[in-house]
Amino acid sequence: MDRLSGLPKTILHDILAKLPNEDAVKTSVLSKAWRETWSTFPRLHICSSYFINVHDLSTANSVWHCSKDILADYVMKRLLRFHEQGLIIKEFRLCMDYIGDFNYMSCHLDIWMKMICECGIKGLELHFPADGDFFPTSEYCPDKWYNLPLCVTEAKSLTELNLKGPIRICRALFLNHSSTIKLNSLRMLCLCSVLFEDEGVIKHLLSSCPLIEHFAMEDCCVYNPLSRENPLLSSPVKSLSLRGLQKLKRVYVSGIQEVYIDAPNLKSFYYVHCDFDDMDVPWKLNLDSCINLRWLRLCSMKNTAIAHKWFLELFDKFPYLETLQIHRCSMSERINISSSQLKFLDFLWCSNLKELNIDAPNLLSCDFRGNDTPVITFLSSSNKLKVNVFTDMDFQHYNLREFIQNIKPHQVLTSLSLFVDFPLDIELGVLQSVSSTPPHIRHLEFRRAPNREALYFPYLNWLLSSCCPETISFLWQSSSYYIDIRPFIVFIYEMLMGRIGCCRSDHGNKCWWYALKNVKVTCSFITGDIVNIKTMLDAWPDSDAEENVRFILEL
Amino acid sequence: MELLCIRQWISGLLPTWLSAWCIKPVGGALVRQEPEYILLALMGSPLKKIMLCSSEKEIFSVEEQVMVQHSVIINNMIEDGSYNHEESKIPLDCVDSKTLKKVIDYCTHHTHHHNDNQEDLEAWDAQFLNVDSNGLYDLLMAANYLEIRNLLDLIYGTIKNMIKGKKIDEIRRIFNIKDHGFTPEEEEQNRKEYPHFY
Repeated sequence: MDRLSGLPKTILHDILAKLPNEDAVKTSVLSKAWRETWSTFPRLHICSSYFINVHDLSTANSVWHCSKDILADYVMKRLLRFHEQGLIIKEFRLCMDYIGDFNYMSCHLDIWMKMICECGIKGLELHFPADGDFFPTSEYCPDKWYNLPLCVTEAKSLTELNLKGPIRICRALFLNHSSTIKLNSLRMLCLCSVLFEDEGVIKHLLSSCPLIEHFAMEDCCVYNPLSRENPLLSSPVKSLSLRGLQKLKRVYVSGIQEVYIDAPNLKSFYYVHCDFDDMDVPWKLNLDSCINLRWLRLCSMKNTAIAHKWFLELFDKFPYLETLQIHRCSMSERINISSSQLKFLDFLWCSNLKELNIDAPNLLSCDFRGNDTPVITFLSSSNKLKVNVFTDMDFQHYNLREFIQNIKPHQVLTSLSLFVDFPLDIELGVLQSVSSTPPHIRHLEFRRAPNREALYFPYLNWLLSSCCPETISFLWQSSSYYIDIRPFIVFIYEMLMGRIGCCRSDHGNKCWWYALKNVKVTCSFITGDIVNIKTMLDAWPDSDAEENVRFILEL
Repeated sequence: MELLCIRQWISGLLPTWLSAWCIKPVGGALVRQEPEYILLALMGSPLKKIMLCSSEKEIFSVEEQVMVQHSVIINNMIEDGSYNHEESKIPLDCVDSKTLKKVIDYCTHHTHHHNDNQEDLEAWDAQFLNVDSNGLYDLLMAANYLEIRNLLDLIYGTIKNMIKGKKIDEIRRIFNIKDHGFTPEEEEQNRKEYPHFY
């Protein structure tokens, strides 16, 4: 036997654990010895997509009827191996793209859950297709929720439970729960699209895992027979209360109006309000006792604007807060941020913002993206600060030059990186005339090119009359569906070298790039100096990796 | 937000979906929290030496601090007092001299150069692992026996790359698997079941 296959099983299992699932499965056909190793590998990942391609189902439903037997047999065979030999199953991850015959799957799932719980399961993940995905309309039924079996809530060895619905958790699971039956080992609990029989069940579940460290709840519902709108007879969970969880470190909550957390060791909190377009649902967050909070992200808080006062109180309540990220929220027009601890600040797609004053002397990075062009002022900053602005606005609606020039103090601009995504639809605007050299910034990065060559020049003219970057880079994945960025790169190069006509300003001054001494070109796929840009671009590798080309502008 | 991503986020791993959304990863919370391996606390004075005895009865003298930092086994032995500085040598019957020397090289370099930048360390590691496959497996067994986490992970990474993305025939060649042990019918069945592996 070759030496590798003869290594101790524990080492081989460690190696398998490092491989992506696909490659781990590969070892099962490598040799008989490896098959043996593979079949006792205690991490089972089962994906229904290995057995059936769901896109075939619309034409051949009968294919699923055969495949589901193959899937069931395969899982049973693997589980029996562990069960019979008394081996431990460390991880069981089941990802179903398609359920099909619900009763059939439900019966088998119950048996599998029982077996793995008897095998000392540590990490359990069940991933089922959401309603609307892959349910052929003839089989769709709102009552098709898988009832989580009792053995799972009593599995003392469980450290990680990850459920993505439609899965139902019933009250019956907790009826016999005395204070001794607890999931004391559970450290991570992630629930997505899970249906609870009533709000009390959520409380029971949370009280049965007192040592939990990571908690996530997304789009979960409560059974509500009176719900008129929702044919699933459920309504979203209205409030969540996490109390007395001493070890709780990271929490993610999405789609719940009111959240109350009392966890003195909470380090990170990620909250997504909801995309309730039709309902005016206010949000209510109370994290006041989580004084150790270091990282906070708030998303989609639209119905009630985040007030100016809220920010003032925030840093008093959480004196250790280092990262603050606000995404897609509506804000007051004027926001003041004042914190000596803050290191990372993000404002992405926030609406209504007109003035942003930041007094954070230890700030390392500030990211901004949005349709608004507020006046951003840094009342105190260090030289370590990096400012990143992301934009995908076209020049008719976005006065980029004014926005950049409004960023104060001006020395911050030397750390500014501008990341540009070209908008998909654009009309040719009026060419701006360049009156003077625009502000100097550190970096300009392109991820997309305009879709028509006729737009290259007006677009670049708008950009380069708004800023004067030290370096320019282009990121592109040749296998992506984004348009080929290479002609755009050639155009910019020619333009910077002064070979393509430039606009003359009102004062008869040439554009600033005429004064460039040199444009140095480097790229991620060729080492060494680039002599000819066209041959370099022809050598762009055809792969899934994102490669980049960089221009260093020497004035 | 896909739950798979949340699971990765919530367990402290850096999620790849961030770059797809053009959001730059910022903040300590999105970076791997704790290193995989634990750097053991420095014990004993820097110049104190210990003796390691290979299976071929060759004795290697090495700084105590160096071995204690990397090998859990040796650290435990010294901590619980079963090792006597004056007289004893630590017998390592499972490790031959050639391999033991290499292991000591690794630990010494990483202790003395732990402040170097990442690229230099990685280059040194790549050079270090430039051995034939027998040497690699010997190192692997030794690292496993001595419980040297970072060396183990390094070698696992190398072996992982020998398997990842490659076809079965190529892997068999790399690992020198001359006889796969399947009957012709079984091999045919395998090829039918997983055609994309071949």
